[in-house]
Amino acid sequence: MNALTNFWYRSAYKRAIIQGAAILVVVFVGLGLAGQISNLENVHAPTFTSSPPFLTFDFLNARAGIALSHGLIFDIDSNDSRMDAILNGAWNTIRLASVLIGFASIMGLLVGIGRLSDFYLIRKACTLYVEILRNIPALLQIYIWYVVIWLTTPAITNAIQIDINFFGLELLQNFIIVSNKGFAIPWLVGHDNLGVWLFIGAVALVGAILLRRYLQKRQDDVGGNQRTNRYPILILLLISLVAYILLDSPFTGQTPHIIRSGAGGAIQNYQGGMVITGEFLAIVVALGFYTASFISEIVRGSILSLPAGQAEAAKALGLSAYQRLTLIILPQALRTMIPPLGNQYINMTKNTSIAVAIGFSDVVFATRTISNNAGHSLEIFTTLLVIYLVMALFISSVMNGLNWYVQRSGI
Amino acid sequence: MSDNTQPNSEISLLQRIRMIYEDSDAKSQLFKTKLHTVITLVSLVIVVWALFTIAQFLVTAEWQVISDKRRAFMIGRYPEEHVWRIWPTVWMFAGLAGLSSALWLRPGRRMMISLFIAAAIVSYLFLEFDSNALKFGFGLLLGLCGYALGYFTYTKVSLNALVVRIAVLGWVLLIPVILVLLFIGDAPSTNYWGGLFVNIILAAIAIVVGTPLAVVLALGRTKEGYPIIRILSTTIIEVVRGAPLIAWLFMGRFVLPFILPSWFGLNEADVIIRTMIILIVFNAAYTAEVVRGGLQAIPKGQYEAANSVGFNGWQTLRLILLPQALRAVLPSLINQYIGLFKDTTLVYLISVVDVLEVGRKAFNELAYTGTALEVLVFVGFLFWIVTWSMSNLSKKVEENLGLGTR
Repeated sequence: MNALTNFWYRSAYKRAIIQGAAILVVVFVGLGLAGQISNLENVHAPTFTSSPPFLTFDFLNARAGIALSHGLIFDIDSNDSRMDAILNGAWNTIRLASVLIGFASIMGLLVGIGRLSDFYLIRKACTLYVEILRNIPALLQIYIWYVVIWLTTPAITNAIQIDINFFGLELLQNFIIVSNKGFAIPWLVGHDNLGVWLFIGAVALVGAILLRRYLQKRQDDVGGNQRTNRYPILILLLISLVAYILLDSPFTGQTPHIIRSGAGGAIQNYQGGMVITGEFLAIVVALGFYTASFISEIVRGSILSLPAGQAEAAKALGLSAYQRLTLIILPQALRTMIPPLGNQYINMTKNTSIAVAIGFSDVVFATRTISNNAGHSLEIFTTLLVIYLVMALFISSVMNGLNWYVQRSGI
Repeated sequence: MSDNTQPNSEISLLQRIRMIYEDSDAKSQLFKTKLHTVITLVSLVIVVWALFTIAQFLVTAEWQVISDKRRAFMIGRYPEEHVWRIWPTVWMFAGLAGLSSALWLRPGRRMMISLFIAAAIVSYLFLEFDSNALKFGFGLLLGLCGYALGYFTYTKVSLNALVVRIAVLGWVLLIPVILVLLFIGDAPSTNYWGGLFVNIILAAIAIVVGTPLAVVLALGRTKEGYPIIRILSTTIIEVVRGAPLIAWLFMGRFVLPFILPSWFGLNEADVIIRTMIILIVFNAAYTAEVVRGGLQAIPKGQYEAANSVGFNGWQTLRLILLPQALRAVLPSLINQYIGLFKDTTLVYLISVVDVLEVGRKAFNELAYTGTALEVLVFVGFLFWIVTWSMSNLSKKVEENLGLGTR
């Protein structure tokens, strides 16, 4: 007995045995899975799965047979490949997530500061906002906003068309069109020289940043005001001007209008401009407000975690409330804010998948449709996992970079 | 000074009002400076407008659909002759809740009042089911009895210990009792489950089964000297957290039947069972990260002290690590559970008819056209009651544990 316990508690043996057992379990489960998957054909009807060999992705090159709505910039039709459809869905998710990150951050910052406000009613209103929105499922809020948008906008047959007139001068006709098919707003349409323009712009931007760094360094070394902002901006503008003279404009503005098609013009739809669909808007508003309630808690927590002396000292120096907030409180609060904020952004990006509930064509929608058409659910699920993983890794690397920068130098 | 603030008959009513105003919060908070006054007035206008809009909606809305579909909101299309399977759980829960609140929470008057209001709302929901008012009343009675039992044994040390044991045992047995009642005999298939009942069951199972799993995963991830175990736990946690719940639910629908082993007919399990599996694993991965935070916050001296008094691994875990770790992360833990409960609305995607889906089906019926907002607001209110009381409960428990004060 004694020898046995001795053997067990000699930690090297213990570790080896436990970890060996873990490896065995993993191998066992893996083999079981492999066996299960290779038996698939015999077990079930072939509706959802494919024939072996498994985990091959050739089927993604076939014709998709679906077109995704809500497209912007990249548009696919049903003749494109399945991979294109999935990537287009991913692009829709990215678009949604980036708009949401901006909106929810601003909203969350405002509400978080509002909860610490000096003003009684503002403080209470912000508290009420957080307590209500945080406790209701996001899906439900998306439905509510979708219903509200659907109810308050007219049908496209009597869409609201907003013109911009200036003292009788008809500047822009059909500037914004509102109906339950979405909000159509003017948009820029790229010319053929857009690629050259983008290249020149990138070069000019890098040049301006390098110039600013150089000037900053010179200001530190030599002293005096080296105009660290003015010269880089001037350079950027100058290059743009030269490029404009040489290449002409890269965009033209385009206002939306309504076209009629079908028998007797029965079907009406938008053409031109950019259409923000009701679905997109509902998701942005709902998820934005929802996530803002969590972000506001992060903001509030990190402001409260600062020593009270910071605000008091700033007050004693005679800084105004706005100066105290932007120069003293927020830059310091940002240090504790960024890691949980990154988590929240990742969560929100994953939450955008709820958008399938009201038919927004995001990546989950695309993969689900393709999986319904083509089977291969395991492969498609793996693709989906990888796509979300890449997004999460991107966000967390950006936030880590930001964190590193803020920890090092402050804002 | 003192005779100034003494109200007496010589002071006019106006002066008295003015004095009350001078002493109140309104002076110090609402009208402190000119800017305060302006902002107060502006926001007052907004508040009045918002209240008016809400009141208008509440009055003009057609609530007929809610009272017609009350039963469906609660239990979906669960057959009426089997509803007896649900009531004992409600009673058990009520009794335990009453007992535990007296034992551990010592509710104040405000909490009792809000509990009473919640009970009143729920009883309104149940009252017009034929004989169910009586059954619900029985539940309330049990809750009161539990409370009284806890209240009067609080000071009697030996009896109190016994009562505490009974309460703990009751909570531990609650989920098994629910499951036994739901599956015993010729029980209706899980396809009949629906309504808020499904949300609560799914969340409860995911929490009760998922949390121990989470502790194991968290321990695996923080264990020193076991690199393989650590890599394994980290992989599981990160992969599960990598995809949104919706993706996992689709996986549960389309992929899980093919990769589950055929033990106990697991590969032909109902969609609810598969949803439970998915939610358990999903919750475990997220909770593991919360628990890991708590484990990492424990100073190294605690491990060393446990070692030096000769505790073995299990004793260290049970007596030293978990009590401290779980207590430290209790707020985040409850937040995770609240999030999970809200996430159970997503199960409609794999055709489980939860309360939100019941609502959607209701307002898509021809008879109830145009009642979408009413239904959604009502379902939101149901969720809000549950989650709000959960977060208040966690605040109360935090206070009683003295979190942040010791």
